[in-house]
Amino acid sequence: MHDARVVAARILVLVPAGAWVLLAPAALSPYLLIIWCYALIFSIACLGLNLVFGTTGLLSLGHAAYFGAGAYAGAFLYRFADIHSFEVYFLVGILTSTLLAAGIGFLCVRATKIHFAILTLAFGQIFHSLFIDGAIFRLFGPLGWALYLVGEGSMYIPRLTILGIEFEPEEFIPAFYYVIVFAFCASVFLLWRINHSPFGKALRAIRDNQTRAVYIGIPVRQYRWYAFTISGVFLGLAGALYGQLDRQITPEQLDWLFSAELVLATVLGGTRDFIGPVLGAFVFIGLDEIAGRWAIGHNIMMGLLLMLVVFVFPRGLAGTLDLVPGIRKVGLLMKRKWL
Amino acid sequence: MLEVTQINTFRGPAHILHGLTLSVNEQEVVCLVGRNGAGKTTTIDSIMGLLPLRSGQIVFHGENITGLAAHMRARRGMGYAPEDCGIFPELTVEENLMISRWLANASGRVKEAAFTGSDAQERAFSVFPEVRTLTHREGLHLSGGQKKMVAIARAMTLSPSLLLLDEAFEGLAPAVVTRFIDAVIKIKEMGISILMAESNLANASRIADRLYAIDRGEIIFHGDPKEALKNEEVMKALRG
Ligand SMILES: Nc1ncnc2c1ncn2[C@@H]1O[C@H](COP(=O)(O)OP(=O)(O)O)[C@@H](O)[C@H]1O
Ligand SMILES: [Mg+2]
Repeated sequence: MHDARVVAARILVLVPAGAWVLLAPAALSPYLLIIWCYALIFSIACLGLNLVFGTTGLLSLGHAAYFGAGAYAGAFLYRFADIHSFEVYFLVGILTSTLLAAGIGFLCVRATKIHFAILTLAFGQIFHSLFIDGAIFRLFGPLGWALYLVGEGSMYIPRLTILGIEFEPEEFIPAFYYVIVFAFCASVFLLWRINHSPFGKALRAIRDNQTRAVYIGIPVRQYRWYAFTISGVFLGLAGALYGQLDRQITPEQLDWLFSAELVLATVLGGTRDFIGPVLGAFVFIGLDEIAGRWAIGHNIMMGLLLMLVVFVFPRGLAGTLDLVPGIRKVGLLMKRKWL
Repeated sequence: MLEVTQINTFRGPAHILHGLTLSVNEQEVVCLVGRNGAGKTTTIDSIMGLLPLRSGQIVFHGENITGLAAHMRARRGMGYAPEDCGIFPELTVEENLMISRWLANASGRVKEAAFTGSDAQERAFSVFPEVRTLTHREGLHLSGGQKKMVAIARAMTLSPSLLLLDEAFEGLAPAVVTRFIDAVIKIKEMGISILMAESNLANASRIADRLYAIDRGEIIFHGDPKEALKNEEVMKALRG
């Protein structure tokens, strides 16, 4: 049994949050709803990245590849298999990025620290160039090549059927929004479980001191690889959702700049707190939106954010909020064992 | 159970261990005594697999483990409590133990070992009941003596048949040393063999069944601890 404060804190946080999540399609303009959806998707990607980055202590500069793969795989599937089911598109996207992450991760975890970062960057850029120069499209024959020439590497994804239902264009985003919410909640739940499992603790042990981890029996390289692969699952999931939301996937989502944005948003939120990447993702997307309205260049915003992180929030937003007594209290109550 | 034969170990270009040979039998406390820099930690790290051997052989339970990775040796039943304790500062004591308990259960050793991870943890608590009261404390906030206890408890959670203890009594008050010596004897009575690196001959002679004296990477004496105390050459080498 919990004491009343724990219950009160949870009701206080979860009821308004839940109400907002359910009512967002009604409360937000269609445009803001898309931004809100994108922030949820970006959060999943940052949370997934943080399993490798914050939890295992490996800086990946190539995670855009798994995000992009999750969307591209489904786009090819639609083009060449004529499949209109979102579920199939979604699963194929996740599977593709998982396999890609398992393959590239297998090689990258052989290195650590800066060498790991460079390897992930190198593989990410190779993958990116396969789309930029069309090598991937060539695999799909003359039609593939024609697609490349028409779209310069970008691909179109139609509104797919969700659970077999074909939605009208104006109904689609509000309906798809609930798919995103469900995926977001499932991702948070699964990653929370992973983070708090002995496996998650072992990843933290590896991060803190590799030698120590080894002599208590942790197979360091193997666990790093598992973490990388699991991370790829969530990046692929986020990418597939993004592809269907935007209905256009471009090589830009594969570029290392996007990888860097994932890292920046995660650092901004705080890598050491579970919920940090979510905070960071929302603030990042929000600021990006505001910057767009005030015609502040995207790169200027990135630069300012970097400075903000280094000088004002070195522990990230989550770490800084944790210093506020009231918020800290609620946070601790939320973290108490569930059930 | 442990046979170390003619090992040569380098740290970078420096040749540290020169053809070192030692053994540990079932349910035996063996002390490796030497002054600072003699090569005790290097010996233990070589046995654990944290340093590669240039030559020589290590056999554990009849199996040649010379080329085996350190984490596999841990899973084969080698527990290690290093000199710096090796507690993960950002994890709580409970989490430090949880990883080992889980690995012990997952490694499949459970079928062979008499105790599963959680039984092994209970045994560790019976040796150091204090650790039970520290479970929610972060590694960072432990005192030196508490760290030493948690390090040994964590090593025991892996259900080891051999415990490697590096300077387990270092920096402890004399009364606490006695407490730790009792703990070591208790662990031995559970059927676990112990190899300890110790710089204090007096402490070592209080618990060792057998004793090796090491100087400049070579074993200069091997035998009964009382004999070592009488041996002038050994005493001279240990004092420096
Ligand atoms: N990282 C290192 N690189 C080179 N030499 C080292 C290193 N660590 C220790 N040594 C040397 O190895 C020798 C043995 O050290 P060590 O095994 O730690 O001794 P002990 O544990 O008996 O105090 C010492 O002479 C020390 O100077
Ligand atoms: Mg030493």
